[in-house]
Amino acid sequence: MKKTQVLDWLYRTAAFMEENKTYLTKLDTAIGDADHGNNMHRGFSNVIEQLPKYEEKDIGSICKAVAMVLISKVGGASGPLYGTMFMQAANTVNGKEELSGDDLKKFLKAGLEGIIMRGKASVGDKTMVDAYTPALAAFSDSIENGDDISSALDKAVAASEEGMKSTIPLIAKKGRASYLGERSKDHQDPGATSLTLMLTAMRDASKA
Amino acid sequence: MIGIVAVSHSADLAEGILKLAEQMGQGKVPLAVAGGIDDPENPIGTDAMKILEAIQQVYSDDGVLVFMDMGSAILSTEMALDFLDDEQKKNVYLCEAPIVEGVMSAVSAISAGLSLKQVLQEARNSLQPKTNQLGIAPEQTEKPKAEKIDDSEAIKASFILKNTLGLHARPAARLVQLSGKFNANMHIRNQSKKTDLVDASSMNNILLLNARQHDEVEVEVFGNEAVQFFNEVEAEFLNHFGEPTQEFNPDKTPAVSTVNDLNNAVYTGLAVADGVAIGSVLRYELKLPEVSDTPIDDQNEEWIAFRNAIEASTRELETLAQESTRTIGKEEAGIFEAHKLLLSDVSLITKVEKLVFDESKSATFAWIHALKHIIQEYKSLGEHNVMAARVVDLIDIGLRVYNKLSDEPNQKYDAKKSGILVADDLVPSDIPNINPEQIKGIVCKRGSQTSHSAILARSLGIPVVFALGDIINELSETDLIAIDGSKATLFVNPNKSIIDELESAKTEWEAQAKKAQVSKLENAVTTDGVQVEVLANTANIDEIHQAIKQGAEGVGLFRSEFLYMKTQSLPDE
Ligand SMILES: Nc1ncnc2c1ncn2[C@@H]1O[C@H](COP(=O)(O)OP(=O)(O)OP(=O)(O)O)[C@@H](O)[C@H]1O
Ligand SMILES: [Mg+2]
Repeated sequence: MKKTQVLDWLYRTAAFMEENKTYLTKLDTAIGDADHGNNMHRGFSNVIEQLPKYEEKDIGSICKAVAMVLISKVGGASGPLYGTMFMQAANTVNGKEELSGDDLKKFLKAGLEGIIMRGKASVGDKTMVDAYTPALAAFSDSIENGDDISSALDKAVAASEEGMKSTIPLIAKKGRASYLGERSKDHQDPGATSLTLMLTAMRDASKA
Repeated sequence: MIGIVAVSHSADLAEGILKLAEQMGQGKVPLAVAGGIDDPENPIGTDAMKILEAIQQVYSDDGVLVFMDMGSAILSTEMALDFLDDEQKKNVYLCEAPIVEGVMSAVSAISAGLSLKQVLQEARNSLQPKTNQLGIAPEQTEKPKAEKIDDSEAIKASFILKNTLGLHARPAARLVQLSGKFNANMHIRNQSKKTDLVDASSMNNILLLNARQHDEVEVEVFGNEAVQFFNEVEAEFLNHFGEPTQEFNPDKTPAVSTVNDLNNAVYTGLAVADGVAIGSVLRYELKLPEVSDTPIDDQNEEWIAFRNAIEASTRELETLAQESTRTIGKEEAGIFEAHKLLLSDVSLITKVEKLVFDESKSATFAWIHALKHIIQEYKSLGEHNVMAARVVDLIDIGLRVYNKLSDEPNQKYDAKKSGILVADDLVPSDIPNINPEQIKGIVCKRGSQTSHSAILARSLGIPVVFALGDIINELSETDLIAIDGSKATLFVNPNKSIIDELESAKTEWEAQAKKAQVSKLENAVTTDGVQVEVLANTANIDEIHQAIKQGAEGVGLFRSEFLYMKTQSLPDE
């Protein structure tokens, strides 16, 4: 995956967040505070506003810049969570202009570890971790089996969608939704949804 | 100073908390808020960078406490910590207390000069008054019993107390200080007396164990830094708190009456300072005043007044501790440190807090009532010297705070009369205020030659005799008494011939004192002929005269804080 594709990924993510702003917020209305769409949209529109300043830099520096913007602009729990994700992931790709399948595997793995470090959620807590964990497993398996990045990302997106749906019957254990207890059941987790959108954008960029 | 940061999703809420807190802490406690996000359309949210700025704004190595409303406020704060360097990060604590209550109680605890650990504790308990007021939780038991802990994780040990006085104020203070130093807790009990385990972060808890020489004390230490904490505790016990270990001799009353009749009787005590004095009895009364239970307007006002009084008293004690470290040594200054800790003692403070908030008592009433309650507990442990000393300490801090709260400061003796001061105990902090022109001499029921009071009393230049025992209680205002400091004797209503004898001894002493004076006034010259300037450490104008009389050529160290300790308000520059 080339640097231009990484940049494309970020632009596509921003576009997805804009398109799905209402949808994400609707999900967050059911079990949260109705701001996840706004949060993600605000975060990524700031990202792409800043991006031209960093386009000349290496992938690591770009991702760090993204992390900083998300940390200060998102405003909800997903700010420090996605911020830490980008920050930790960035550390694995310092100085790189292009990512191999293995690089991307390490990149995604560090990202998930960042989210878990920050939010201390495990699978089943009805969070973005429920989508990310199976997605990373699918991606890693696929790369280890010799697949190319874009087909590995196909599998990752499929796993992520499945993980996202798996949050529907769960009772939330983390974040705002956990205040609802039993009442958080039967709703899809907004964070798991935005994470899936992000991976979908990555897949699309890898094919472009 | 410890700083506070409030993090809220709402800028309005954050600002509101800031306003409330500023009113309470009178703007003295460093406080910063991080509220909302920079998005005019959706201003609700949290911003790690704003939080970071707020932390940096109030940061000092004394520590920062962060209070957060919920959800991402916590995650964003944790995120912000990642941008601090490790040294600073260590000093920032995220407190789980409800944000409004937590900030308010932290502000008042910080104003009162409590340690970081104690401030955290206060904040954590900040929901309690409300819970009580709404009648939701059952009343806490009077004596805070330590919570049950998981046995497996605690370090346990027993020690036999070797030092003469057992766990008295100084060692107790040492243990409390240690428990503030580590991220660990200690529970302690007196095995010999089969007491319950109590939390060792409270001086009163420890003192009430009534642990004396040869008692076996059990400790349980647990928490992250349990090992480090335990090692220091163990070292203190093994080193018997750096104190003497000779056998304790309880209630030793060396006073011997040679005549049965009060008239013309002579009693012997311990010689503290030489000199002869004849005069009438001037009673020094060390007791807490009766305070009437007057209705109050506003609980918060009372609480703030109380906190301010505690704070001012703490400051005084700090100065006293520093000064006496310089003038008479660290060891003796320890008593003021112990007093300082007593002022922040949780069991005492929570009693006052309850009386103010749950029962709407005035600050003054609550304070005196809470103290009397604790003193009663000490007394119930039996009257003997060590416990009596604890009660003296409590009364001393009691009056110190009382005098800040009340329009009519408590006078321990009539400042207009002259005579020989007759006391059960003399509080060290009173001695610097004694005017030798008015007070001809001092006699006490209790006391030792090496006590802080004795050391201070010696500097007054008047005869002092301690440990005279029960005769002190027999004396009345109509008695005429005389003392001979060098012989440690007290004469009650001496007859003409004794008076004559004493008068001539007095004249002789005065002549000798004058002679010593003259030789002092000749410039001090060392054997090799170098002229040395004799400087005196002084506390007030009287003492300067005193010092000049004694031959000082200048003032080496003017203990100016004693000057304003006599007044009710702080001096301006
Ligand atoms: N501790 C956590 N670990 C992992 N993911 C979490 C955690 N807490 C929340 N999330 C994810 O964040 C999503 C919500 O993000 P959003 O930006 O709406 O934050 P929020 O919950 O509204 O924050 P706030 O606490 O400020 O209201 C959830 O759907 C969930 O997937
Ligand atoms: Mg939300």
